[in-house]
Amino acid sequence: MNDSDFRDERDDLVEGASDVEILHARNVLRGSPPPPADPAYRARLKESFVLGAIEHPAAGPAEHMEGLPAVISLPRRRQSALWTGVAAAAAVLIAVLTGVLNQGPRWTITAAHGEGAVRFDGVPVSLSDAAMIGRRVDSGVQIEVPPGGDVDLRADGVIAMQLTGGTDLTVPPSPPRWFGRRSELHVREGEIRVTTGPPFRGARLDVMTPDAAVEVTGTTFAVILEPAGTCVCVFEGTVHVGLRDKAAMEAVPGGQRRFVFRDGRDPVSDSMRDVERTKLAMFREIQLAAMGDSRPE
Amino acid sequence: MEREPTQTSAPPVVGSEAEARPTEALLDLEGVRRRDPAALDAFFERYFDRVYAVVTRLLGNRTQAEDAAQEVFFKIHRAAHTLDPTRDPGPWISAIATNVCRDHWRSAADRMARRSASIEDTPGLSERLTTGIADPERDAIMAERERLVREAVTELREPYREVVVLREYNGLEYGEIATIVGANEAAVRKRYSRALAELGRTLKKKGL
Repeated sequence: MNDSDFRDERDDLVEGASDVEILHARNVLRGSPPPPADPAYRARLKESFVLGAIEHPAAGPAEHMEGLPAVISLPRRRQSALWTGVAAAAAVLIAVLTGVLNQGPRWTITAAHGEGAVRFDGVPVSLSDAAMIGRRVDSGVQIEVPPGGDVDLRADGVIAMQLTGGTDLTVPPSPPRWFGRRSELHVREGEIRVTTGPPFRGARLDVMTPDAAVEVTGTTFAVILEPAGTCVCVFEGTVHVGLRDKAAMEAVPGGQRRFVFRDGRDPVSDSMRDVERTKLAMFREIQLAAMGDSRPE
Repeated sequence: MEREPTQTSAPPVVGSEAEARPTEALLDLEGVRRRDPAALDAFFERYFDRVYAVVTRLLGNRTQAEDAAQEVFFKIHRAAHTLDPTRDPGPWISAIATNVCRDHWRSAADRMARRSASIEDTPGLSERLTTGIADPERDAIMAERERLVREAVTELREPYREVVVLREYNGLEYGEIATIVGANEAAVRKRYSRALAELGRTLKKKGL
């Protein structure tokens, strides 16, 4: 700032004011920035602001400190920071507990038949070793069922799956209990049957195969991967079936099947074959009896 | 870096990034409205120094200034959803800071603090505690100068102090200051020049 700069602003100033005094005052002000904030205070304030834990300074528990000499009032902010920390920790704890409690029930093995070894993330476990199979099964695990074998899984009364020989899939998380009730099941090969119980109500399962996408909100159905594509057979209720990118989704009611071709032809719908109807009926009866309800959702 | 002042442009901002205004558009104000942590982080970094400078100069007391700055950012956070992302938030923030300081002036705590002994009342002590020991003599001189400037600003009547601080430490236009203090622009210009003249005389008496 020099004199000519100052002259540019001269007409802001009132008559009678001394140029020298005004110029001097401005130079002193501009040469004397206030001292910076204490870095620890600045960091605390920033953290609470960014995390949304900032409090009104009078909201701390040390209200009785107000009015005392300023130097003595420093503990009030420490107290406030302590309460902020406690509140943040409580919020984190509640979030963690809510997340844990919201998790759906764990998968358990209810039956395993056949010879050979079922592979869990590539680790073979004999189909006759039910205890080891039970320990291995969990959401996110890849399961490969040997030809001729089959494995039944159930997540409490929410959902049950039958994995037949040759099936390769990743076990999905069972639908959460209260919110975010959506899970995704990836089937790479084979044939599965799925049925849902009453607690599944309001949840959604998306079954993804190399060819098709299946949206399920409560029903009994089979997904059969064949060399030419994926066949979805619906025993009860309705599922939506379409291409893997969820194009051409169409409702498939009970008693119907829909075939999604691997070579890109348009999907076709038809009546379900009797053999699959019988298999699904048996599966449903067994699983619903085990889940304590005779009606699928 | 100083901008060339003109009749209508604000002066360089003392004690903060004087060139901050041209980059306002880079702030994610939509994110601030959503209280997105990353946006709030950038927002805090952009405005904390300005807010702290204003409340320190208006209140003249470090402890009160820290409480005031906390209150300002508390109010910003609470009202973040009302922020207009198409406008420079600087004047809005300055208005909040000014109003918070006015509340402090009116409060019993402020009157008590003025009467009470404080670290701020010990000449140069608070600054000596924080300015390091690399050059003790220079630190002592700077601390004494800072104390005298702080005293001189604090001795200004509150309407004058507001105008000088908002103009010199927040770089606001006269029109923006007028909106904040509830006066017309001509009155703000008069207050500004009278305040500077008064401040100049006070500083001279103090040997600056």
